[in-house]
Amino acid sequence: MGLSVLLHGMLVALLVYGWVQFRHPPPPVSALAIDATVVSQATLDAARRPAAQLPPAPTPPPPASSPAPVVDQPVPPPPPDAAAQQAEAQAEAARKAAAEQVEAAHAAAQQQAAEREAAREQAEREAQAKVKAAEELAARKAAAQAEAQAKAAAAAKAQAQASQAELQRSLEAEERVDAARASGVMSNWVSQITARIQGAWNRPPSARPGIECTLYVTQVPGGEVTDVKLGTCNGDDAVKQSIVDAAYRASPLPAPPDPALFERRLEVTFRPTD
Amino acid sequence: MNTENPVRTFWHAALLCVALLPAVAFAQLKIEITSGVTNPVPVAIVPFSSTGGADGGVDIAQIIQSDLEGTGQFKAMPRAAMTQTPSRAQDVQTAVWKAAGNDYVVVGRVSVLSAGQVAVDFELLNALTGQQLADSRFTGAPAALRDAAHRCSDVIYEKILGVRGAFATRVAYVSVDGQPPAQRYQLIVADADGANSRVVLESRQPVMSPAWSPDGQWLAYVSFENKRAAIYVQQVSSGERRQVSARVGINGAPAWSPDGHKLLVTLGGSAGTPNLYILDLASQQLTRLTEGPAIDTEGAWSADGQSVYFTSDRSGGPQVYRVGVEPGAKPRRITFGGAYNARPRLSPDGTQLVMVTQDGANYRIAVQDLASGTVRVLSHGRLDASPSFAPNGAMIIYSGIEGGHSILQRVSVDGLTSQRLRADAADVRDPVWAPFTR
Amino acid sequence: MRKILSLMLLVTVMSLGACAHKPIKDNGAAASSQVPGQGGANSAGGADANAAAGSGADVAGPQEGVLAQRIIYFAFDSSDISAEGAAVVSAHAHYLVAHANLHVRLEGNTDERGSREYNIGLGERRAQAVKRSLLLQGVAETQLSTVSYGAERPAVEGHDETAWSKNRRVVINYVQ
Repeated sequence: MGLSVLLHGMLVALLVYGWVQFRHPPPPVSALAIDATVVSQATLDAARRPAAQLPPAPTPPPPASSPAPVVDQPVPPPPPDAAAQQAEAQAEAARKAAAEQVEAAHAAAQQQAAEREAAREQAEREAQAKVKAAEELAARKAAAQAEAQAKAAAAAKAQAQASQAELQRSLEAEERVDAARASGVMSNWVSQITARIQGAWNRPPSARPGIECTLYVTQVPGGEVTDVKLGTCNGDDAVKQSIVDAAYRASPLPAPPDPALFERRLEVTFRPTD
Repeated sequence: MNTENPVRTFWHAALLCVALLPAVAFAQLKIEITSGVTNPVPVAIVPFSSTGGADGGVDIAQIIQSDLEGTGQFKAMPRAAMTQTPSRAQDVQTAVWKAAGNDYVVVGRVSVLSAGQVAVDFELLNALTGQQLADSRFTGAPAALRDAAHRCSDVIYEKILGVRGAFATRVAYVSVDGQPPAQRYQLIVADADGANSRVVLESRQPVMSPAWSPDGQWLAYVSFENKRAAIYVQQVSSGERRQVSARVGINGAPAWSPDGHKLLVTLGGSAGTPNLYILDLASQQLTRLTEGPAIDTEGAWSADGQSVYFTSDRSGGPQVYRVGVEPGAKPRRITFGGAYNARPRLSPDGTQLVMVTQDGANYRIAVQDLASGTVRVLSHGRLDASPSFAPNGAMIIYSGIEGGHSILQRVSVDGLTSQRLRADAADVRDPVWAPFTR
Repeated sequence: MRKILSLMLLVTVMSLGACAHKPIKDNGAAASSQVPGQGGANSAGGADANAAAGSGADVAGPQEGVLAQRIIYFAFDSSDISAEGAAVVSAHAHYLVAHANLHVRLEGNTDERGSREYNIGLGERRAQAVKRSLLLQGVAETQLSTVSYGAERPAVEGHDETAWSKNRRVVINYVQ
């Protein structure tokens, strides 16, 4: 809870800082290989997703595996000619990015539902006020520019509306996830996965109570386990091997009742109690 | 470049960021596993290839299979079900073996290195992940092929279960044949699976209570060859032999100290009251450990050599006691379940005690956890006796009556798997497992 | 190929020969290198030691009437001499008192149940019980020696009470 407040406070500070800086072109914040002259919605979205890259965002507890599996491909640079193609490409990229955003929203939603609701509402109010002010400024600028720029502005507006719609959809999906969680559907699915892995874990003699080992399992929709990475483990080699084997033997993992609940990454902790 | 766009999208980005940042930090579903299963590990042991008759007819893969399955912790794939028989790791298509239900695959080959030297090479592969876990080569004379096979089993067992294998070890036991009064007694040393047996002492009078020295080179035993009990020590490889105690009365139950310099012995004297003594082998000096008219015998050292466990009937019937070796130490009773608990032996890690216990009308092998006092009866016979731990603590060898004969049996320390080691038609008894020598 | 096989055969034979030590066969004689060790638990004097060392070949001994009976039987887990046993002990006691030059070895035995070394102790207890009875009846200690075979020398093979009851015994052996 305190961490959340701290994060939001720092973000507000960031917003203020950004607002002060708005006269200057925002520095390229992306670490991905993107053409820096086109600063599109998609670019910023892609830049934002691996949370560790946002200054001064605190890094999340690092999993043993390399983070950022959610970003599948870098956003392709658009062709350097007509503005219409550019806009279309931007819109497509935005949709793709927005879709990825939805996935990220799914992943995130299960952890901090209540806090997010309150924070979101408050932030929305704050940000919307700022958006309004920025928009007035932008409108004045646009009026002073050529017709081609006005066309581009219109295209960008459409794109922004599309993003808004995506945002709306992701928020709805979030709400669905929260509802499912509240109704116990989620915990049912967790129990199914737990039972599957438990039945597949062939315990060696050295896996005694006191052993605690973590496995990071990646699955694809359909339940097939595609990657298994060992985290911290105080067991011997036989224990480590047995839990990795267990993850593969448990594949394919049971599917969630609602596809929107699908979770790609699992953190499986082995802690025998008997 | 459009300056209106960046500002707007920046604010949108900020909005989303504020909403989602705390959640983005933990994008994983958490699962907790608190138990598993203990099924036999399915493993495919592919028959080893042999070039130039190098294996001399010895079926290495079969020896490995018997070793592993005998522990109850492995289940080998039947040969008839194997559609391929690779002998090298690079020829193994792990997906095929995984589909056939195996977790692991063992492949190997025997080849002639030079005159009188053969090599056994093998690899162990994880069929689930495709990883190669082990590859080893053992060389030696063709006569040592069984030993090489057991060493392969040791590697496989340890890689998969994390416990040292005890397949390439030896046992000693007493064999008796003939009818009374013309019995013939033999002291025999064999591989832990009963093969390669060799007589090291033969007598018309009883031989009993063999005990291995800590370096696995000597056996101490009791022999009645002079019409009375005497304790001897004998070097197994050379046959060199020394009498170390032929005192009046009982001389019995020799047990080597962990440092190999002393023997715990039971001496009865002319009054016939058996008590425990520590005999220094070099000086012949005796240190008395117990006293009193009760029968105190069957001593066993703790791993640190600081205390001794023994059988005593000072409370009416035989029970297991512990006494420190320092002067003035008082024995403390260890067993409290039932009317008969005798013949204690310590596990190599010193946490468990195996003994003979009376279970109803039967005499059976039981293991007691020294910390908690919990007792588990492991065997199911009528007259089970003489239990001895394997040097890895995972199995116990003992003798039992079956079909009117006394035979050797092995049981896993969890009591779930047992195996008979049939040795000729004679009665075999008093088995004792040798320590690791490598 | 043939060369390799015959070489392997030769090496095998040689190695077998090298490590095959004839098992030590005893003919009742003591082992060659004895470590002197007659002290320690010995409570009496040298006499006992001599008597023990003198235990050698068995002799026939008396055969008249009850003296032909050499075996005293015992109940399970007991070293109490029964009435029948007492009669046998008594007869031999009188004989030994009358023939002070004779020696007997009292051999204690048990049935096969339980652990072997503990049974050595039980067999010894039985032999000592007979010895005490003989001493009480005037036999000199120098005429007596005891040995326990525990369960190692059963009189009857078998794993039931019929066999067991015949194995729980003390045997009186006249020795020279």
